[in-house]
Amino acid sequence: MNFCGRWLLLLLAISVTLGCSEKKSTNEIDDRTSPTYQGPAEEAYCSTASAVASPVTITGTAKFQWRQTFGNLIVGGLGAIENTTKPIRRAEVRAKNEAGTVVQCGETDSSGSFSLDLPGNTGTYTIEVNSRAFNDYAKASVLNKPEFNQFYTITTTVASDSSTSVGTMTAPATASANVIAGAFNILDQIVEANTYLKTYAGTGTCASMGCTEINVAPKVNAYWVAGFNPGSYVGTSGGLSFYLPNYARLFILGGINGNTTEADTDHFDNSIILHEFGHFLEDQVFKSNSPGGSHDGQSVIDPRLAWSEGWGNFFQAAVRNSADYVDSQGNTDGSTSLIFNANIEDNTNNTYDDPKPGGSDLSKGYGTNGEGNFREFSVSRVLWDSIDSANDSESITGGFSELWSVVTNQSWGWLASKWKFRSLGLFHKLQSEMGGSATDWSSIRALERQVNSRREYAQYITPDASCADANYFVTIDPDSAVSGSPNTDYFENYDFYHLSLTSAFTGTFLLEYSDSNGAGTKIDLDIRILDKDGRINNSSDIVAQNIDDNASSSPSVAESTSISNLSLPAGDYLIQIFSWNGTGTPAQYNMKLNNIKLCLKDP
Amino acid sequence: MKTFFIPTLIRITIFLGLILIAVFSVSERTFEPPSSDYHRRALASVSRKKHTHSHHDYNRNLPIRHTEKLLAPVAIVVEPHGPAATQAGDEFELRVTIKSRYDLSSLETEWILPQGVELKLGSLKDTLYSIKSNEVRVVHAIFQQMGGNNEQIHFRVKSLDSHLPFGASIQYNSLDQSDIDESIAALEKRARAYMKDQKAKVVK
Repeated sequence: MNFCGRWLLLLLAISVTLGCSEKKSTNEIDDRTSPTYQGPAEEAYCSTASAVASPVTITGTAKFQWRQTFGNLIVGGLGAIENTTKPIRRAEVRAKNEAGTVVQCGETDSSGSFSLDLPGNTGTYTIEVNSRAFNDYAKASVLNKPEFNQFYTITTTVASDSSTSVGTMTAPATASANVIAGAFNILDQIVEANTYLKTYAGTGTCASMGCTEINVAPKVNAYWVAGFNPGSYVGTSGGLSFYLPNYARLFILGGINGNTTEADTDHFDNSIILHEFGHFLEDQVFKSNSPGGSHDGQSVIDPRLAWSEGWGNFFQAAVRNSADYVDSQGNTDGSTSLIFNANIEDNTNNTYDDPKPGGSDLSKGYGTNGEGNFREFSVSRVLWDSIDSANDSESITGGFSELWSVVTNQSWGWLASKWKFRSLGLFHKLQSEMGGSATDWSSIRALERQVNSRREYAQYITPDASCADANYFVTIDPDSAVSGSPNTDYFENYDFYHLSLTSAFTGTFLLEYSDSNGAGTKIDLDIRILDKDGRINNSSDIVAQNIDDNASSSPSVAESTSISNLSLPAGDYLIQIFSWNGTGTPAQYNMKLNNIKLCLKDP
Repeated sequence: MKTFFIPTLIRITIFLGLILIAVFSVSERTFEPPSSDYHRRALASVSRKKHTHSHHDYNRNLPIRHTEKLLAPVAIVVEPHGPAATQAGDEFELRVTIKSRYDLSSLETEWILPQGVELKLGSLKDTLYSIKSNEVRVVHAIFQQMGGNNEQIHFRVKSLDSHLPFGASIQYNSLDQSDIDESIAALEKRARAYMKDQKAKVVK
């Protein structure tokens, strides 16, 4: 062998060695592109039975193994595979011939049973039950990933010699079988949610109250792979399930880096699956203006996010008919524990108990009316109290139908086009004004320190001479316990208004304010004008702002802050008035557009 | 003789190649500065979680709105302190930083170890007391890689505080963590590029 030959061999050896040292456990991440990816079309759904010659009838039952959460934070988690299986309900069933051609279709019933007619004495067929449904009970596909759009299948084979039963086909929940039961549990929870909707908001339930009745929700895709963490899409290593608004896509946590027995998973955490489906409903069936983002259940947050997450928490409880909201990690085959187990009935001794005296969020005051509109679990509790039968200082049993009427009515309700920046305050306003047989929620609002108006968030402000007297002011009382620039107490240190411009505006936005007692630390109020997305502190949504310091440090000197040469196209804007430092004595202020006062006035 | 000579040469070249790769690989892991990609990303992750309402916190890194799970009151980050394991027999140290957004009376910690990893120094279970909000606590432990397979170590915390009962966990991969982190970072980058491309098509 010559010199070149030897070097070629050396290079070959090195390249082979390099090939063997490639990354081992990241393929599930590496072959993905984006949660928004438009992959190949899902294989056509097949439910209509075809007439066949000399038919034989093949029957069977499809089931899946499952696990359930148990215990509490001290000793609890996701349990062993249950002894009894659950039926795969309302799912697609197909029969394929030996060439792989679909020759017959059907669906399982409520007990997982199916029946298919096959042409007699024509060979062996593969019977498959798939993780999708498209019928009056659910329209949903549980798929692996947007890049492939492949559903999950359990199969068996049968010869078409005579009518026979294939027995029970079972999707396993073991790690060695890739927990394929997880896909069918996700589908089952979507069937369960649809059943709930049909029962309480279907035909004949709420039309008299003005609802848009729903018998089955629109098509949703749930993406799930055992061992895959959808958080990988957003660069986080922590376990994450999420809903992708405008895409009708749930992403359910299947584990982390291939691990399903010690890592966080959600495929058997029904609370989480249903919570994300709740987000799907508010996105696709009624309306959400949530900016999305982090939430811990107890902090004062953007009230649109508090509404959205509070709704999700409530919906999972409503469907499960349980006030518990549970998330687990691992399972008893490996090591398990609970991540949280919150009770949305109880606000007396619970993690997410604010607003209440001595609540968890100790940096805040307590019990101020309106504070509950900014807290996720407070939203959840008031919605739950509206449908539950327990009388915990309240006896409201208005039911889901009434609630559904508020959020789906298109004329006076949540879906009326005039409403933007929707949050709990709007919900309460509409519920309290719906008249007829509407339930009086004042007792549960009082329990949760919530107000039935948009006064704390996104109330309309309109240029109006009728309020143009010297006594028209809004009071802001900053939370002196919080400092930083800007601080994050959206309840006490921020005021938000909805400015709707029917035509373009040019000119000056003026904010005039004065210290309430002319003494102490002077408040520094500032203005931001945000676009229709209105994400607080997101620079891409800020149309204009003035965050200059006070001209005078003396609390006895009145101040003004303005944005001049303002040019706003017609549209909806979120006006944010805020105390920059979160300190200072209460102040009164008014706002003007080209020197005309802006009045609080919902249309 | 010639037919004997060629296989020998191949064996030698493969052997030399393996040595080269091994030296390269070990040197890369051993002398990688602490501010490695994993280190930076882990800290950034904590930063996003702990500042729930910070600038650009919404939507995390992707230019698209999405929902998120309920956030635990503590942020935990695990990272190797010193050289990571590369082969059977290697000892490696893991350091976990724990930061709570609230005062906690106590916090239980636990390492969940697979069969292929043994604890050499430290405690499998421990309890941290009187944690103040925004205070950083650090937990160390030294482990030994027993075999040649990647092993997944989980670290869990549990608060039984009456006002803040919760659990949280984080995973560390003994051999593959840097590859996984690179893959996640690359996926996030692909997702961002795809969305940008889709947005451009809509605009057109």
